[in-house]
Amino acid sequence: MANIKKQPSNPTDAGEVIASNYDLTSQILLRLPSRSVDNLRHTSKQWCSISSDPYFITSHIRDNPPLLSGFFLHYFERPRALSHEYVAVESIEKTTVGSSLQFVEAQNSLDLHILQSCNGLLLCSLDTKYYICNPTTLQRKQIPLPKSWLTFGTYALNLAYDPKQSRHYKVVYVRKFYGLQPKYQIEVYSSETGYWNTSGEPFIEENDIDFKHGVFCKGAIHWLKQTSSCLYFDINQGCLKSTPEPPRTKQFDTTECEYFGQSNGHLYLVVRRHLPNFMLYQMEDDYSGWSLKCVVDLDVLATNFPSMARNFYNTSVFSRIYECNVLCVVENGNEVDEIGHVNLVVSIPGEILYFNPLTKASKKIAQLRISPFDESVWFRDFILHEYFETICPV
Amino acid sequence: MASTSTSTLSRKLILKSSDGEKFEVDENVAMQSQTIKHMIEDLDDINSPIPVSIVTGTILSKVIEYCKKHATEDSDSDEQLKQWDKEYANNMDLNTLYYLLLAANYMEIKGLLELITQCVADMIKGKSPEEIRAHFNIKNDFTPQEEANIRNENPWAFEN
Repeated sequence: MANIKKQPSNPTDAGEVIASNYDLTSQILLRLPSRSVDNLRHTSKQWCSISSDPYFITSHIRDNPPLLSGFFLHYFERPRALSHEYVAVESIEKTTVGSSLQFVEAQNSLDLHILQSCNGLLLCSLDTKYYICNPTTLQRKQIPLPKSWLTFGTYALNLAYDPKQSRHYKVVYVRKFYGLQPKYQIEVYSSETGYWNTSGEPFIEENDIDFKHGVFCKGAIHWLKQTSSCLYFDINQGCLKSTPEPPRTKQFDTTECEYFGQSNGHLYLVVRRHLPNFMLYQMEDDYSGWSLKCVVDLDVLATNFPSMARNFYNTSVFSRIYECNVLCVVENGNEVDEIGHVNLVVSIPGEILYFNPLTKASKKIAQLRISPFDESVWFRDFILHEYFETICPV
Repeated sequence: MASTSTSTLSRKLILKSSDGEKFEVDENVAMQSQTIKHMIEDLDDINSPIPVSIVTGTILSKVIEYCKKHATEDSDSDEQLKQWDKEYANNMDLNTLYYLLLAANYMEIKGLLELITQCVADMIKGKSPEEIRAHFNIKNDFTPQEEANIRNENPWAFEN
């Protein structure tokens, strides 16, 4: 009886049996990061069909939540072929600049613009068209524009994708009616149905809200007002709500927003206040208000990276600022141990750094191709989008 | 829970490998294999050897080593057990690892299957399709045309 089943007779046979077994290969591929899975679909027809199996994709997304593996940098005022760069982040300890990511090559050859990065998918624009792209699998899909688009012109599109909830994404369009008082209407596109639907009634908002920079967090798109309170649109409930603004310590505090974004399901706000330092706020889970997490001590950082202070003493003592921008707040997903696991990604002339505002540890993660000695080049010359790996189809 | 007080009462089973080697194991050790569990249910006489038909003695002894450790898990913390698993897998050469994976799959031992698939995944992470084909002796069954189509997917041809 025992000899009826084919028994691997030499060592390589065992590997061969495994690699030709659909189930075992699936089990192995499920444990690989998204980019490996995508790359290995070129191995054979069977491996290709495993990685496009909807059941496999659903399981892979469930077992491998989007993984932050790099940053896309977009430079303004540069020749098209050089305007995009990529910084790979394997861990806080290990980063590589300009490692080839085919998506970035495509960006540079086409002048494709990333408007928003959301858990592995990107909302991009190319000329007058809009796309949802997966930079890992290089898949892209043009999204149809809502019927009202042509009549009223574009106002703002925002992407909402949460793989923990659904493999389908939504696009939120905020349409503006021009008039004495700005009036807006929200429409939502669902990738599941392929249709746009109007959500709720038109609403009035002051002019101080930036609908073009929405942040998707906890099932809602958030927009920041100049006062640093937020307006947010809960996508499932289809309703709008607002949050309090950060507490002011003095009556005439300035609240110049330095960064507004999210990490690991928490909204973060960095404001320039009490120059030259920044304040880092986190939104309470129940939206009851912004709570101050810490004062970001840039003096310490400037000691290690003097280029950010090159013009510091040339200005009056009241307006001294360091040449430093917060590009991104990254919460270390595995460790829930309060603020010690929040890192800021900051740019200073010519370089990008990680800076932990609590431990004050810093580390250079990228040397930019622009020279730090060029006085005309400063930090506001580019924007950053996070790159999360996922095999989610668009 | 029951391991200390019932160990003396625990029944013994005999597992027989494909090459005829016999292993006497406690029932609770063998029961970690779903396949054996089902076989026992159908068996009239548990004193006769249970054939594990596609697993050799060398591999079966390693499988039993794993099952023994995990049958008495209450003596170790999760952390210790994880460490043990890691060392257990690290001590295997590649071929043993592959045979173990096949054995774990055949014998339906969930924990062992997960442990080894993770090892294999860690090993092939970052490898190219060419390397994978060579390593597993997989035939590239794409026609040149199909392969060209796959490659063409990549440079982004945007529909204008």
